[in-house]
Amino acid sequence: MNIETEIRAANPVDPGALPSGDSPQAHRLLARILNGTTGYRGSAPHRRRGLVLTISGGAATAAAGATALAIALTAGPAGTALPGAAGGHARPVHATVAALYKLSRVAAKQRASTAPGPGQFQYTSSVGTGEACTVADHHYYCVNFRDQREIWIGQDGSGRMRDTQAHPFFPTAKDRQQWRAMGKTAPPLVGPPSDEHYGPGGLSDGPVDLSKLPTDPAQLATMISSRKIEGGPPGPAEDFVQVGDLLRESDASPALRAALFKVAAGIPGVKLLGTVTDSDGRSGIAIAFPHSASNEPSAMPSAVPASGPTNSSANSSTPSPAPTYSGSAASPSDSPSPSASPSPSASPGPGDGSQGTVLNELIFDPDTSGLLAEQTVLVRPDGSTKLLGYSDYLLSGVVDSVSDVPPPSSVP
Amino acid sequence: MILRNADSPAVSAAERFEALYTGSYQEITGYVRRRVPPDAADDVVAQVFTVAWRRFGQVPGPPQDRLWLFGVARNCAAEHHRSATRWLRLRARLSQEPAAAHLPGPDGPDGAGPDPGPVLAALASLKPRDREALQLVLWDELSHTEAAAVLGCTVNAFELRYRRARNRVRDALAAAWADAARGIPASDTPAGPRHARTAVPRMDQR
Repeated sequence: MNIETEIRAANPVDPGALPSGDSPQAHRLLARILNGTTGYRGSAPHRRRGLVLTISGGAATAAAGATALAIALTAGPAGTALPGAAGGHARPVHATVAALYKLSRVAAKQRASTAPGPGQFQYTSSVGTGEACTVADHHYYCVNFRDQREIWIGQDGSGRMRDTQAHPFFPTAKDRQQWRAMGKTAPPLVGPPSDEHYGPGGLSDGPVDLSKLPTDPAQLATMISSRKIEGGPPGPAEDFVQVGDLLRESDASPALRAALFKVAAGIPGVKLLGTVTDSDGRSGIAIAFPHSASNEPSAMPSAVPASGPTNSSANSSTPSPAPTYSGSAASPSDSPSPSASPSPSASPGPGDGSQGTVLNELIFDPDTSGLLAEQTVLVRPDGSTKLLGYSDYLLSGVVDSVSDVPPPSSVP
Repeated sequence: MILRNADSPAVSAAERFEALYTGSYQEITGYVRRRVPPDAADDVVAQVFTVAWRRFGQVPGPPQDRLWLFGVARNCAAEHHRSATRWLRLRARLSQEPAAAHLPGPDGPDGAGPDPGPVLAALASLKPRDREALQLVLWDELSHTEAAAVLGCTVNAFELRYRRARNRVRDALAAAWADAARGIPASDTPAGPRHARTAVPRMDQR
């Protein structure tokens, strides 16, 4: 057999069936791009659950919620390589390990949550930052906004997602300037509220089952680092992301969650930040993976309120109540204190980038070990900080229909 | 790097972008549709070209502009998978019941998803970058030099990866067909992969 012929024959998309660049479909998209009506505000039914940092070529950009574009922009054609993959991260120090083992013990004592059964839905409510970018012929600008989301995911992958964007503001003065220059041709700064229902398979690829993962920390760490559970680039930065993904799963067993905290304690570069307050005002124990930031990311600011005279958006006249970084432990340095103060001598971290360090933070409830929030924070070389993005997890539980909401109890 | 904007200043950026767009729309659409579920493919294609327009001043001149677009498409598709389905994939992988069949993206998991037929199953069992090496050449019809540029590696490194991936698919297929031959009439065996292919939902039809 000719193996290459066989692989060619297995091409799932027939090249002859693809629309050409002269097709009506292509012309419509081109017009949208040149007219600046191809924003990315919540059109896709998915978003990354939490905050992601992707660094390429020394540039760092934090992304939250719908900010997929920002990641794509910073990643060059050669692909991305997280700095963690290159090594150079120290093992977590004793204080970090101690804090994570304490969270592990708390996790092990929690009551097991149930996974949704047939006809049931996993409900999660969260609020975080979103970003939409608009391109016009000679203008380009991005808008950040508060993104409130409720999602119901059934065992068969069906469900519902309700999304509300509000409080738009411009990341930089340049974005505001570009938007002003577009005048009345600029689209609304935030999209209308969306409420979409999905059939089987529309929201999820398969039924829920986390029970097959080992609860032995060593075995689990091996599975994570070898990417047997999730795909992804190698290195401790991705290890940390994947631990966060699993800890975010509300129906993970107490034993699995306990093991995950121990896995985190073994990831080189992971640091304890101490007690941090999330954007919802809740205090928790934060751990972080620091990345170097040789270029200051342009995300959540120092907000420039997105108010203006020409836009028709109902929200555009609202001065931005930009979430502010409220962490009481801004330093990426490993502190044994649960209430460390912002340090003017914040270590630039492993990357020693000229613009400081970007912290990818996970904030846990010390009483339940539940994941309260995620934040991405820039720590400049002078110790000052800037919140780049966040997701606060507000409520989670199993419900019987997409109209139900679980009673206020615990976070995911 | 030669900037496109410097090549022909008399032609407007929009006109030059339109030329690149029209010339590459079909193959970029194909690239995306092979890696992203149909319900999201149009969004990802739009994202690729919007990024290209936004960064048009940095796009290299021909023929590298086309490869630059593939690189953007690769990142957009990968990010789609990472953002949209990482936890869904996780659950699908852990579940007993197979998820809907589609190949993972360029940075997708090793061996994710159910058995979509011997060839696709063999591809899915490869490491993501090995799989991408085969796909770029055999599905997206790039030369080895072009594919190496998209993947950001040397041509020599690409050749090594390509051969390794091809040999692994060959071995996996040989094993699969041997199994099939034991279980079904011999006369049906040679058509195994093609039959299997028709059983897999086409990515552009689901």
